[in-house]
Amino acid sequence: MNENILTVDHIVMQFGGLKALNDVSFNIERGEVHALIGPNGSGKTTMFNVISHVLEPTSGEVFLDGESLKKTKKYAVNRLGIARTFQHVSLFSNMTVEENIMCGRYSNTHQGILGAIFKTPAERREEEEIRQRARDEMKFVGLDDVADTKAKKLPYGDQRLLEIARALASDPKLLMLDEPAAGMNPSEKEHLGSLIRQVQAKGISVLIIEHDMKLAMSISQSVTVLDHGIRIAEGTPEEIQNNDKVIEAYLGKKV
Amino acid sequence: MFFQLLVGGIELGCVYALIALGFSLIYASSGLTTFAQGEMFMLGAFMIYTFFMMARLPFAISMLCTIVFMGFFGAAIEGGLISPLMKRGASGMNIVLATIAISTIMSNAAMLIWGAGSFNFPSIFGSKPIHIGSVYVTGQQIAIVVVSLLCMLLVHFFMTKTKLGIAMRAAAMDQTAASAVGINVPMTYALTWALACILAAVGGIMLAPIYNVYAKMGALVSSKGFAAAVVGGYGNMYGAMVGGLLLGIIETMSAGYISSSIKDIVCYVVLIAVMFIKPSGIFNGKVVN
Repeated sequence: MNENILTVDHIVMQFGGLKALNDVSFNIERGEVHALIGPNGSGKTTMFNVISHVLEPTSGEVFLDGESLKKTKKYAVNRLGIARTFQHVSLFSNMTVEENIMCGRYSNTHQGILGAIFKTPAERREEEEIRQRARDEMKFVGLDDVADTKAKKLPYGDQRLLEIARALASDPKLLMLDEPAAGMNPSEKEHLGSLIRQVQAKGISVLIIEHDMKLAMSISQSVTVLDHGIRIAEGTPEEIQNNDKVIEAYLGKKV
Repeated sequence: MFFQLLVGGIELGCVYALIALGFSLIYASSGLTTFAQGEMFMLGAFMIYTFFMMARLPFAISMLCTIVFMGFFGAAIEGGLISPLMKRGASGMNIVLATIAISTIMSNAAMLIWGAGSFNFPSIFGSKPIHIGSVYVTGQQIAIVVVSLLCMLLVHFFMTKTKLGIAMRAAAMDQTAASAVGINVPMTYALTWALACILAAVGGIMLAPIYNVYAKMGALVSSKGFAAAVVGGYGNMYGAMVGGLLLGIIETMSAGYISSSIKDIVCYVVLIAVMFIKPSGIFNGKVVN
């Protein structure tokens, strides 16, 4: 077993003349919550998109559990154990809460089209398993009373929770959350923090982009800081809070 | 006379609905518009003609062979042409043009392969009118309605109750999210095209005994099928079904009560009226429920 669940190795992501990520490397230890922070435009979401294969990096490689993801197809990354949420909520808006979570589970299922059409007993069992799992995840994030509500009808904070439930339904090794607290009120944020701790307690590693420093620092064990596409610091939350380079990146140079 | 016309309208409308369903499924899944649906209808008719009349296979087997062939044909058009064009940065307009090119190539190729003639196809389900009250219906007419409604029911079941169908709807609603949950989005596109071609082919198989089989027969249904999809709400599969039936009934009624030379005028006036009154169609368009 590898000590690191994820290794980001010398990633360069170039868009035309702009280097959105410039030779970024970092590791996520198995079982930890790792925060990725940095000012706006520092390349955090680009990093997420490279890890989850939405973008193909110009150079460099990503390893999940020691295996290179280079040859993996876009949709297969989830099957290998990476699930994510999006900065701008991406739900199946006309489907119900339950259906959305069920979709998250599909990549772990085995019954094919013929089974689906002829409703074989194996298919029925699997369908029931998927539904049960969806109910469990709904309960976990606290959406069990809106199972049949369409995703687009949910309040914003609940949409973010639904994205997390959908991601968890695939039994990921690594859960990636892109600004999950954006648009949440303080009590929702508190609930989110406790959810993330529970996810960690289940043995799932977490990579989180978060602008709310109080939240990010309170739940994470290590932090990577990006600025203008460059990794400027890495360490424990305490080390990062006292790092001059980080303070400079956020507040500007001391006079 | 009203009920006699209604029967004819439903019969025609069912076939329009099958064609319209293909237009809407493709639009909903990928935002693209195809103009090859009429030729898929034509190819379906020629394939059943080939299997049943030329190869002399039993009808059920001929139908199965046609459906399987058309499914692969649709997936091959998507995988071999549409998706490579999209990867090269083609716009929606390029794709429209590509499908117009495909449709012309297909109808001319059909003429080269099967000849320019019009071929008779027997009524498998009977052409002798049966008396029901004051209405005459043929077995073929009943079969058209039953088979079409069955297809629509199957599509509904497939899209809402099977894993694959739900995955297709998910990919249509949000590609990025679908990919992130492990749905093979390119595969859902190919499947959608396969489904659209199969539906058009079923229309061709069912109408072949009534209109004969010939290379230009796609024109019978292509623009009406498109119109039905738009009237129903472009991209909405239930809208396509309702739009098809509505258009078929309006067409037959206006032919019966006014004159058959005016029926298309009435159809398209209704189309324009719907666009004015409810631009998104009867059901709201681009909602893949």
